[in-house]
Amino acid sequence: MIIDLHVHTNLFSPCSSLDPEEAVRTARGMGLDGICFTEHGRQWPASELERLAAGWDFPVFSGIEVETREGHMLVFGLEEDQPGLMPALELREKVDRAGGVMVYAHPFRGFLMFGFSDLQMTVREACQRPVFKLLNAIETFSGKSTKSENNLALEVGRKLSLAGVGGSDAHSARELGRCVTVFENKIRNTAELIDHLKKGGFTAGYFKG
Amino acid sequence: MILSYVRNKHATALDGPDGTVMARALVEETSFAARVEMLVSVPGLEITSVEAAVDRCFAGRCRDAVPLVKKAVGLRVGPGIIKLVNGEMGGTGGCSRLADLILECCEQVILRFTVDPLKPIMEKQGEEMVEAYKEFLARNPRLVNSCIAFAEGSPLREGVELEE
Repeated sequence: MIIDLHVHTNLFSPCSSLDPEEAVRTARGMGLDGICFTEHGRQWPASELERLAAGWDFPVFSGIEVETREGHMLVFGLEEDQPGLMPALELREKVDRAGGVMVYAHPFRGFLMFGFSDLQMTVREACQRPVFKLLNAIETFSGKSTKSENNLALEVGRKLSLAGVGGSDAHSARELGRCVTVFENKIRNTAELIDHLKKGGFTAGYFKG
Repeated sequence: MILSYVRNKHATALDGPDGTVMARALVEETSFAARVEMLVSVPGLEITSVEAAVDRCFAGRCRDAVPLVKKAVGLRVGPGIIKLVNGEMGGTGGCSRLADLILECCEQVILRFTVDPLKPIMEKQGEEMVEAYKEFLARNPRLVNSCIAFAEGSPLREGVELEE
């Protein structure tokens, strides 16, 4: 089952121009099997998510992209909004209490003109971040990262035995589906998504469509 | 009564001998003067030290906020830094002027590394330069649609496929 695990819509992320209905229509049209909304600090109401999924007969999941001192985290399983800044450890504790999972989003995303790979960051140096000890997985394929940044994340994931997920970080329809997570089994709801993210049985990559 | 007001700002980044980058920002105006100096590690771009001083200020709040700049130590110059700095040391409990100076320093660090990848492109001319831009664009999804030169319809976008 191919899911874009990192998508922002204009309903809850002011920086996105992507209408939720357009997101689902585009995702289905390009051959994805599911889509996951990960708004900045906001959780989708379950009823809205169900309405959208039922209306398009297409699996729609949700998580939250939370800002921490250590970077952006995709969390799955938290019901409340997480608008504030917090240390990653505090977020980890919240996620644990909720039985959820925490994924480091675009861990080595750089700037407009350069990235960490341009600064000659080695895998060994990259692995030193203490935050890696708090994670269930890292985003090894991010649609907003360069190939070399994704490769660095991939290498770090391998070195630290952290599972890798893929997501486009789409803020518009044309950015959807560049990177995806491919699950071996069918996933019907967010609870099952969390279960699979904990157990494994998925790979990440670029989506050719 | 004649009112006069003068304001000068200066910000810069310098390469340190140990591979770090040192950034400085200072503002000097009639009613306020302050400076911030920051050290950033390379390649991690982690802020390893921050020193600040408020030399002139009518409000005691800014001087009281000087110790808060230490909260920036450990932060990474990268996505989200504006919100992080403003959240940690700006706002009602801090000093927005000092937070701005820290962000000026971060901006200087980013600009320090922005020029390097552009140099080889700028050295080319004509069609060669266009092709070099296209290659650069194909490697960087963040650049696509970031400005009108890299938007759909631009000659620099013709035939460009993002690298995978």
